[in-house]
Amino acid sequence: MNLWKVAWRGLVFHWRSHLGVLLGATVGVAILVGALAVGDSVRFSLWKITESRLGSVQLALMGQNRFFREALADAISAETKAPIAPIIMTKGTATHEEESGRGALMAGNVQFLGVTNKFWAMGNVAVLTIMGEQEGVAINESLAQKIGAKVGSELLLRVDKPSLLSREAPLSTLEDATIAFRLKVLAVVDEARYGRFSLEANQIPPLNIYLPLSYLQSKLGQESRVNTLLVGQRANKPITSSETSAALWKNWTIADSNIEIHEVPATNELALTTPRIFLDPPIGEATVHSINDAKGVLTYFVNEIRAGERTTPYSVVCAMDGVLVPINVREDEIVVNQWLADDLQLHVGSQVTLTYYVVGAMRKLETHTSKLTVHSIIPIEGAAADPDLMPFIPGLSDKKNCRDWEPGMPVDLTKIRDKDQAYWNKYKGTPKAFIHLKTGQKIWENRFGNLTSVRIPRMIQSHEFVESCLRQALIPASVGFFFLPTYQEGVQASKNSLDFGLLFMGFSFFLIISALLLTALLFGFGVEQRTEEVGTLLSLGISVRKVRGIFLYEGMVIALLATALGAQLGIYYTRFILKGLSTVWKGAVVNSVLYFHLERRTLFMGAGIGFLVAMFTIWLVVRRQARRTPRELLMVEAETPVFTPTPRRFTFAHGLLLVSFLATLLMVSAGWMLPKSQAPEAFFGAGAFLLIAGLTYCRIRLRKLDEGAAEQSLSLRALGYRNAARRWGRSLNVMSLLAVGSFLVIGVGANRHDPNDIATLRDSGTGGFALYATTTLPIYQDLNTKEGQESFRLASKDTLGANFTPFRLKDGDDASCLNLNRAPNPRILGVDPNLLVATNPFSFAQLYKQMPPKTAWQILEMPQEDSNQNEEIIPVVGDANTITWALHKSLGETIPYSDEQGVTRKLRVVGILGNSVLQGNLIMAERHFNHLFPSQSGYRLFRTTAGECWHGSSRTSQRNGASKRVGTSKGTWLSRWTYS
Amino acid sequence: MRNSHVISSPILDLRGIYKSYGGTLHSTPVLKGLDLRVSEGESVAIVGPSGSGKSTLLHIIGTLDTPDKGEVYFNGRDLTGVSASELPRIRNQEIGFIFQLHHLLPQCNVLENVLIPTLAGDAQTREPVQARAIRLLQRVGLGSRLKHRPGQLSGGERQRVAVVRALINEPRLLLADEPTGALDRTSAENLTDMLLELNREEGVTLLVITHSTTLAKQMSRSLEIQDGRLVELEAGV
Repeated sequence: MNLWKVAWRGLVFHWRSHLGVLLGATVGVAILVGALAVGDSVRFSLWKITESRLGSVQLALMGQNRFFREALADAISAETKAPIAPIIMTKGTATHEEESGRGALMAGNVQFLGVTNKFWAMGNVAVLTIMGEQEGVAINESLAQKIGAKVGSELLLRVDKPSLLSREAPLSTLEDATIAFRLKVLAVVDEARYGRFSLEANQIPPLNIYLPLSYLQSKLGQESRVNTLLVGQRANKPITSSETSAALWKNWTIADSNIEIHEVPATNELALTTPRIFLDPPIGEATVHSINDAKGVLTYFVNEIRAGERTTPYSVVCAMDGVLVPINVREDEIVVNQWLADDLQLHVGSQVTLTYYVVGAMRKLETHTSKLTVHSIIPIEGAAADPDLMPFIPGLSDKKNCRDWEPGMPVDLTKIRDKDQAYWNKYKGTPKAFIHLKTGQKIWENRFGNLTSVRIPRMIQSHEFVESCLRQALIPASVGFFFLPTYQEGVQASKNSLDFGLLFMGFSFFLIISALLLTALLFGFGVEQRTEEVGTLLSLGISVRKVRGIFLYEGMVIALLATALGAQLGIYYTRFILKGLSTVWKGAVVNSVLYFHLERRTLFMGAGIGFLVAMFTIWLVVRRQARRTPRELLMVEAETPVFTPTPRRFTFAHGLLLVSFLATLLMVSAGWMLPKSQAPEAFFGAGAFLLIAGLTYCRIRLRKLDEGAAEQSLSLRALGYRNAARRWGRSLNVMSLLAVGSFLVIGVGANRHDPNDIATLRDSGTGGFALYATTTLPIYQDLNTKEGQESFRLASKDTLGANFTPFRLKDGDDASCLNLNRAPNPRILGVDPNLLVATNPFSFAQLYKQMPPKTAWQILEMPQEDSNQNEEIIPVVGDANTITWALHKSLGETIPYSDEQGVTRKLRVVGILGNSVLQGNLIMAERHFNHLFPSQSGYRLFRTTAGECWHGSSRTSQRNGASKRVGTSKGTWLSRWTYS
Repeated sequence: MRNSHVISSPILDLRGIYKSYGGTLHSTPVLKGLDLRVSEGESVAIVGPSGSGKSTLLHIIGTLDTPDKGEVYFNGRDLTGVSASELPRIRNQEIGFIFQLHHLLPQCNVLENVLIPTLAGDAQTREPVQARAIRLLQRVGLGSRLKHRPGQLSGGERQRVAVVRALINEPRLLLADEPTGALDRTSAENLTDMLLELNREEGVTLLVITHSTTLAKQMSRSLEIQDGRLVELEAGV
């Protein structure tokens, strides 16, 4: 005979009462294991998706709107022995006209991929011949599904036409900003055939169109040029970005930076120019610093040169230092050529006014003027007769007749006189005036650069020497060419994703607690039913420790059995949930496929924790039971703890009731006074205290009932009260279970918001904006103007009175709750803080510095004290969920972020917004955005206040599904429209 | 008929025992300065009306309860000063309990029930005890029911099992609380005979609480609780 045997006998004899305990503990373990299995499954699925979307791609160079030689891929590949696929990757739209004639289905944000056989090798799949006998495209399954296309469907495709000159740069034109073409679908590529290819860390399948590289190159006018390099796995050892960067630098040519060197016969110089008009600042700086006697030139097209009443229209003025503008010319002085002096009747000391356009936000042309004094008048000869000082400006340089000018800005051709035409015929773009470079840069510098060319004396340097110097001085990364460790980032993003195991454990907390309460309750019942047995054992001299041991042995067997059953049940539960998420609830995970996966370690951990928690619960029950004396346990009437009437009127319970009730009132008051974002904390705080107060009150009432039981007349009701009071602990347990359950149900219900309720309020999650619009291709026009709206056929009664707030957008990882990965490079929005201050939308939950609520958005402009010349810290604002869950950051922390030059910048979280539609993005001031991402032009995200007729027509159009027909997504009150 | 026995030194000595129940407000005194002296080998019956404090007295003697006031000497040792961890050992080794409602563990068979008290000791001491248990059970006529569960026994048989369980650790004092209270006449007589036989042959001191005058008369001494104190009854009462 031993304790184990007694325990075993008890276990078998009391199996009915143990069954309930077993079920309770099994449920607890199942929830724990299930929650952890969900975490494992999500991590595994994200890793699998990373593998599937990247194939063997390890590194990627993304030039975006900068194109370079396709041959660079082979050169780097030969150097590094790693396979490299040159591709074109650009965004566009795809429209499918349904055969049924129901209308067109359009998809925005479509990834156009110009690929070669090397691309398919990256995906470790068989080569897909897209254009063999007939022209056509391959599309992936997601796109096919979205636009309802299949093999044979004809698609209207539209992509952004790359322009060397930014569409926002002065003198640029919006003509031919996009190109459209029709092609038939030749193949639908599934996931197994590299259909998920994407460089963005997101589990949501991308919308892909695959075209032959040469075809896309020819469509975009980028023959033999690409904008992306994919570096694959090397056979013998892993490839690193430093190796590829070194190889890139070695094989880099100035043509890859869109730089041209040509001779200037007029001055016997070499000129460094770019079709982008403005030299990238790093290129200008590298040239001036690396080559002796190199001089920067900034040439600008001015609208008018005025002297008193006399004017000369549309002239070229050049800012440069040197022979034409000697050192004795002051910064407020100008050197004019003889022709201009004659035209305006100028003499030394005359005052002239230059009038010119500066491109502001939304391509708004702002007219600026500068007043200068004539320093000297020079003849049009030698260096002053150099038409090459004017860069090639499309629509201007290529026109023989001034009256045919189309320079991308308003030109009043009627102002052009015959003498102007004669000058153009004779001297072309030869500048009519010259100013100091410093003065020119002060008035004409923009985010695209502050030089239009660099001049190098031909006598000193040869063409080859200049190119060689430049290649050495210019790091490709400084103009946006650098390799990102895409695979590593992808794996990190999936590994460091939100821990769904812990999240589900949090969600299931109430269930786990309930299961444990149930376990405790049922085990307690079982032990209480065996009170006599405990009393007998104790009275026979068996120590309390050994008696507890007997029950713990029994509990251990139950807990072990529950652990085994619960672990298995947890696995089934997870499989069931994942099956649901892949089928009926697939909308909840945005059509992402999740795979079941459970690490053995996780299984043991979940089961182990479940076992220990169940054992702890049982131990608590046994410990409580064995505290009673054997005499109490043996006496039947002693089963009910006897309340000892106390003369004290104010007991601990009364104190607790008072304190918790006061705390409830305090939390309710706080809920009224605190910002709305903190209302849930106040709600749950008040609820918790109210729960304590309520249970304490019940405890006091039960005591009163028991004390007064003798005085009550015998009735069914009184009997019920007595029964409830007799085992008050049990009664309180049941009350707690029901109270917690009811509270959670009410709590969840109370916190479910209908965004429509407060959507029009400025401090709501919508910011009071009625519409939220994203565009695939950038918009340059001001949509608040009639002209801007007409460009997109937006001018209607719906937009009457509506106000558009434009945001610049730098593509990146979606840092919203729709992306299960950790977002290593979140999307960035750039906005003019003044536009937000004017309307003061959204509400800040936290601010890094005290700001008046009305001007809180100015925090985006606030200089960071720890910034220095070498490292400027950029203030950013984000949605609370984005900052906390997707980025794992908090207020004041910094986020490392690579700018366009590959330089890691520090972004400081200076403001956290309450729940808002800005989730998934980081917002920075537009000027910082332009500084960090100068090549990102245009606006791609708009928030719009409601037009006068919005509430009527737009909602109706959403309800009847019209919005879907034009490529918008439904599901919220917000409409999205896609610019094509 | 009284048993003849040799009176030796007192195994039990209770002095001025007070005990009340019901807290401070509605306190009900049960024992009011009770004294009791029992010598080793004696058989003593304590009688009294219901609620007079008989069971309370037995619990105090058996270390299952403590007096509010007074001293309890067992074998010359003051139990009021004994630590809580030592009491179970004394209860297990020195005192045997027989309850009115036998309190057998329903999940264990007859032999196992008898061996339950041996669980207090270590495993090595249990082996030889098993033989003694079987011997005792055979002696009380239950040799053929070793593997039976309490539910399969009659009331008298269950009580006999309880007696053997009380004796398994060879206690010096056997406390019996209404041992025949729930038995029919024949079973009660058999049990009484058995207890007296044990008292005689094993030399175990017997203290019986009973309503049964028949049982009380067979003890060497009978005492009655009157107003919280013990009063010696004349022989033949």
